[in-house]
Amino acid sequence: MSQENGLFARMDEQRNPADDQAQTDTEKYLVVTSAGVLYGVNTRHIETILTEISITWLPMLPQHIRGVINLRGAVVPILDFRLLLGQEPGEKSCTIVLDSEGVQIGIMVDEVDQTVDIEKENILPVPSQQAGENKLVSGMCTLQNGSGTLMVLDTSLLFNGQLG
Amino acid sequence: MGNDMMEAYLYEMNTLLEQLDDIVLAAEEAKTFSQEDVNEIFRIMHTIKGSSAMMEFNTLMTVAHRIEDMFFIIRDKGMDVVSDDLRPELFELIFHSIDFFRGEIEKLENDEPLTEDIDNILANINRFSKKIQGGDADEEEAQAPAAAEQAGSDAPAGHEEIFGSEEFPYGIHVFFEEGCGMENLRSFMVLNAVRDLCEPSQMDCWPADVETNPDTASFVAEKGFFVRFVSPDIRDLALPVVAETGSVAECSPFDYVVEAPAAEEPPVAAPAEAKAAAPAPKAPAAQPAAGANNKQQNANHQKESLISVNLSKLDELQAVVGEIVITESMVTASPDLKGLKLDSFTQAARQLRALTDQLQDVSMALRMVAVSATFQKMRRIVRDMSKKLGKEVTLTLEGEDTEVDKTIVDSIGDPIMHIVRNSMDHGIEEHVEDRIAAGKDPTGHITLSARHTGSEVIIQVIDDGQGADDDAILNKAIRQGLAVPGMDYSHKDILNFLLMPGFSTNTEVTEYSGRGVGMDVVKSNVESVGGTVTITSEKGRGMTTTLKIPLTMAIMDGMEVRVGTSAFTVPIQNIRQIFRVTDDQIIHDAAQGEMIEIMGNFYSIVRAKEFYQMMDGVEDFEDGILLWVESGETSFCLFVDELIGEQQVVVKPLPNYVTDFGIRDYGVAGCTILGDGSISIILEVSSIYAMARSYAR
Repeated sequence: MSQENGLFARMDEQRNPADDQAQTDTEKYLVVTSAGVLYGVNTRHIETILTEISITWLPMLPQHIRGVINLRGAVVPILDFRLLLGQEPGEKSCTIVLDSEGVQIGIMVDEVDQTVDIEKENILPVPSQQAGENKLVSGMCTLQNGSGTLMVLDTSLLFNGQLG
Repeated sequence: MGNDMMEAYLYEMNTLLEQLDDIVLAAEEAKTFSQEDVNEIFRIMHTIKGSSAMMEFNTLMTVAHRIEDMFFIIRDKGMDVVSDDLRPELFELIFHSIDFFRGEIEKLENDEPLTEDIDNILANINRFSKKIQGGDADEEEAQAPAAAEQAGSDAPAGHEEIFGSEEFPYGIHVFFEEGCGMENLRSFMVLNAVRDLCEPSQMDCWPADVETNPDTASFVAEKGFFVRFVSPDIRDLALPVVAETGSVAECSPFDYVVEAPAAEEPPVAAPAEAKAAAPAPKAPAAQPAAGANNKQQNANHQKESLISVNLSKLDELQAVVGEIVITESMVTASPDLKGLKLDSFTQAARQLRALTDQLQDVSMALRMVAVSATFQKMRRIVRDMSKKLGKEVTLTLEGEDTEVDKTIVDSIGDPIMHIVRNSMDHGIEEHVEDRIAAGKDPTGHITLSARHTGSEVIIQVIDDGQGADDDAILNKAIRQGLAVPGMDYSHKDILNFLLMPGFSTNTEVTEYSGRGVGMDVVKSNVESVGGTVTITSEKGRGMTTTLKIPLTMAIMDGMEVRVGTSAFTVPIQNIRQIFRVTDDQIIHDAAQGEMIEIMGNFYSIVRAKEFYQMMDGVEDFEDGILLWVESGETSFCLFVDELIGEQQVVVKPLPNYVTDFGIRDYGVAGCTILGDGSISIILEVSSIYAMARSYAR
């Protein structure tokens, strides 16, 4: 059975204030870690965060699609972010469910860290020579608190199924 | 103009045209229109005219208007006015008009511009109207258009008429902008504007019932609207107010003159006045129009017990009901309750179960519609094609009131049409002599039937034509590269070529069949709703195409099975038998394939674990269980670990994100959420077999 993390259970409540602040060009990002790298996911797309899930395996899918889960009656596919990038599967996992116009997918990452406000102008372009993961990363940003560099995920690419 | 209005208009038009099609088809068979038919057609055309005018589709309005006029003549003079030799022309004309409307409606649905050029069809209608009018055309011509207007309008008059009143001698004569429409409502707005200026008893208007009677619009458009007051002072006050009201083109004061020819009695009752205003010869025309109105009201009254609901709402309802069914079993079978003695809970739970079952039945029943509408459309196709191809064919419909899920009805319309066209085109013999020589009735027969068998509906198209010529089909299949020359094919195999992509037996492309799509489209359409297509045929005896379609795709009875750690659902309807086997019953072939003999036939075994390349699962036949499954032509055995049990499941589609990887081809048709919240994969056995065979090759 799925269990929701109460803290993030209703991310979408934060959407409206975010819309109001649109003029200031600041957006909220959820910081997650996968294989030691920090990734930022725009909270606008986050439906919920799950800690325990029971995945139903489906045959004949690429390895990075772990299967589907039952999320309040909806069948949601689950991607393993490490496997998507061709890395070894991790020990711990946490699943962020993203929603794009009613289509939902879940992304398994190692850990969820915190949410941060990032001004748009602070997001810098990714150097083009980097191959691999950078196709999923739309920008980079140095975190204010000095905890590291954040890779901003291009969530629309994740929805575009044919990855990996 | 809102989308809702457009939608309502399109829905109305489609319903009316369907109705019209039915009437004309039946009439053509009877070779005459009954008085009832004529009235009905008159009413339909009137409604089309009205709605099209409202939506400002003037071409549609004009055509409907002309047909209405034509039927006015027929209604007035009886069907005898159309001599027997003219009747086929009349039917053809109406069919043409229906096609015209259909074509235009389709354009509207696709957001395309309407046809501007309607002269051709109008000319045809006019020519026919003239023909049936015969000698006394002049008199009729004057009456026909007038009849189309409603009672209360008046015959054309050369002079401006003033409708004064003795009681309210001081009036204002109001004209609205030409072509502004809805003159009655605009008049009412004028009335409202001046009403505040005086007591209600100090004024009145003509026509008196502009608020309630839409038929007054044409009167106002033609002759203007009259507001009348008791004193000139009030009128002088009102004049500027009227002039400022919307759409008023012209307003002029007038005084009541006793000698006026159109003297009026005090306006007590509107109908009485209407009669007085209408010249004597018009009275009979007004009468039938009123009759038609009554009839329309009756029809409306009958329809009140039916409502049309957006299908998406029903889908939503079904989804929620599905969730309730699952949640109910989650609650009542909750592991927390284990070992507790809960008498009243058990009782309440039992009642809840009964109610949810009932709810499920009701919500399913809501989606069920009769196949009759789809079947009726075929009448028209058979009629048109038999005319065109010069083949005399009768169509018999059976089991029209068989009900199936709405989504299924929608998706079988095209396949059935295609099969019927095929039968007309390729099935029924080209020459009557051939039929006579074969000892058959010179008239061809096509039977379209529908019936239920438990969880399936079976639709058959049976023709008594020339049937399938095995050699011709095989040669063709070889030419198309579908068959291997020199290989032996059974009769069944050969018929299956007909269902393969890229196969079309007729070398010549005709208007009706063979537009580059063939029976393979029929097959894929039917399979998309979980059905199967089979063809049986005997040369010279005709052909039978059978569609087997599940009644509903949303809820089905499934057998839960386990393979390794995964749960699968096999539709009960596909399972023929379940049994355990021992290793020595298994027959191996040269290609490592495994088979088993059941009742004198050999069936291949597909191991689910290997087929899906799963990590866990039993290897030995002794440890697992065999399901003998069947779907359409496919029959084989599926080897799984164990049975979990039979269960009613709600079918959920898998997200596109995963189906994009082609897992449907591997027999993963969908999924369902089980009572404990876990997901089970629903298998489609024919795809498994097809894929397993392609592996083996």
